[in-house]
Amino acid sequence: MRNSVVQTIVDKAKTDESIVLLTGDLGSNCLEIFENAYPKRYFNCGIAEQNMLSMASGLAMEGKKVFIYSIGNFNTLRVLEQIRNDVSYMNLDVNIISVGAGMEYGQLGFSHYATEDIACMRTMPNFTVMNPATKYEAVECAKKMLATKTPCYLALNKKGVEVEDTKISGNPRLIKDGKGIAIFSSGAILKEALEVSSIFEKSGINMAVYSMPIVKPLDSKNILNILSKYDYVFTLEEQTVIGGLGSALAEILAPVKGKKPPLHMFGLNDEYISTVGNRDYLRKEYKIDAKSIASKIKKIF
Amino acid sequence: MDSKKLAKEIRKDVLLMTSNAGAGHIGSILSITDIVAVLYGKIMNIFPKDPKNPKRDRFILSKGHAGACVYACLAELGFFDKAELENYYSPNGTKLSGHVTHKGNAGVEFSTGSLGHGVSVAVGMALAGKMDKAPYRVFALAGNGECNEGSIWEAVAFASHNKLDNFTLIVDHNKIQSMGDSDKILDMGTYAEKFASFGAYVMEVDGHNHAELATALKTRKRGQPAVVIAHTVKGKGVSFMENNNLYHSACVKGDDLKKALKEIEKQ
Repeated sequence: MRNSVVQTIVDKAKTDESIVLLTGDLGSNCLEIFENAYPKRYFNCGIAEQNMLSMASGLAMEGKKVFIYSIGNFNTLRVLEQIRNDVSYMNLDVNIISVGAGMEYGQLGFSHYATEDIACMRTMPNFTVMNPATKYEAVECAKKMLATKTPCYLALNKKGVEVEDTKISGNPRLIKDGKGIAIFSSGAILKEALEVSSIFEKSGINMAVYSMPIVKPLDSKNILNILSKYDYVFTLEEQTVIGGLGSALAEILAPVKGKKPPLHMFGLNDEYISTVGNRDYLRKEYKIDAKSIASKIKKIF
Repeated sequence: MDSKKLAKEIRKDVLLMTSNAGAGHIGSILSITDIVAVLYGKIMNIFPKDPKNPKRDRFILSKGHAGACVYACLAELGFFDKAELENYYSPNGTKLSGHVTHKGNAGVEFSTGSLGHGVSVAVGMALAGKMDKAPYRVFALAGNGECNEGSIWEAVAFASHNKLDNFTLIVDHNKIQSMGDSDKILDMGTYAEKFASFGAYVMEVDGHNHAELATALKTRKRGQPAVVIAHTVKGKGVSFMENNNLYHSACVKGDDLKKALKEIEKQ
């Protein structure tokens, strides 16, 4: 999905000469297509993210459409104040692309997990926050970045979840239909959500599975209509359970008076563990793999 | 307007503004007043009635806490009505915040306040200017205390590497920062050598001497960003405020205000 997003930007940059790409010295085997096509609009800013972020604002002030590329935490948490003051407050056309969403870089260790970025970025006014699961979703998100003049955040993985989803529209996107219970996920953890649904299918329960590539802004009315169709609603994210997708849906449900489904949020609990491994290993350790989620859900209803 | 006359008017304005507000970083504001007056009075291409004119030179005050100086300067030059200065720092709603903001204030390029941001923003503007082969220059003004921030050095490294000779960083070197003498808080050694080693063309001037400032600010070296180390006095122009860190964020009232205004008037 990473390469498809860059290709989408490269294609658009042919006609939109305002597009500029900045990297914090990351993106080998990915950004070359942009660099080779538009060397004068490509800048490796070195390992200096603070400068890169504020500089992006300066470029955007002068009418450039700026894309920034780096690993999750380096262009979000490390530079959150630059994002807040220079991009969000100024409401500029700065588009931040993160790779290694969630715990994709498992074995690299804790420093490389992007597990708080969605929560943090959701607090930034003017930002569109996106966390796609599939290649199709990622390209649609890239098109959204290209079409808007306001700041965007996009968390990416190297490869997307493989689902036949090119005909599904909207946000949330109904990936698998079901009745009574529904699970909403954002990002690559859609894979586990689909497996959870398969586990329940074996006992004759059809669980609906939704993917939410856009975490902010949300159409509250539409989401409330969808949530209200179910008796139980679950959210799943490869992120801290504080402040991300689950919180976003809870914020919509909380003020509703009358009948509404209970919402249970699954994600990383408020803790870090001390072992590392690949993404599948870590999901099991953090109990956000399909089996762990299915057993938690069984206890709930 | 003549830069000396402009500096004098700004000094009177900011004393009244901070006194009226009961707040503001007057020491820092007076420290940069001559630099700002020379930039707007002698160096920059400005369009007070067309503040977004693409040909304008850009100025970013990175040490946003001295924003009152920029507000006063812009009002003196007719970017907006001078009467608005009375609302500086007003508790009942104002466009003129303590740390400089662009929102609703014609002529202010960018909002700052957290140190170490504005220089990078200015570098981004300079890079855009180079890409577009635009004629404008970009000036950023940072404090010497602000140069504790690593991002300042990231910005200058980038500007040098990319040969941004349309960019000038001015360092208001008054040798004092929030809690005291800079060399006792975090001794950064000699700025001139440091910035030169980062690839900038460095000039050192008396930051209150308009002729020296003008010469340095006019200077452009092909393929190199410029850094002007302006040696200044915190609280410059008011005898009892000079080098007195009490006035980092204090203001004057009553007789002290009268005395300060009288001293400025005589200069």
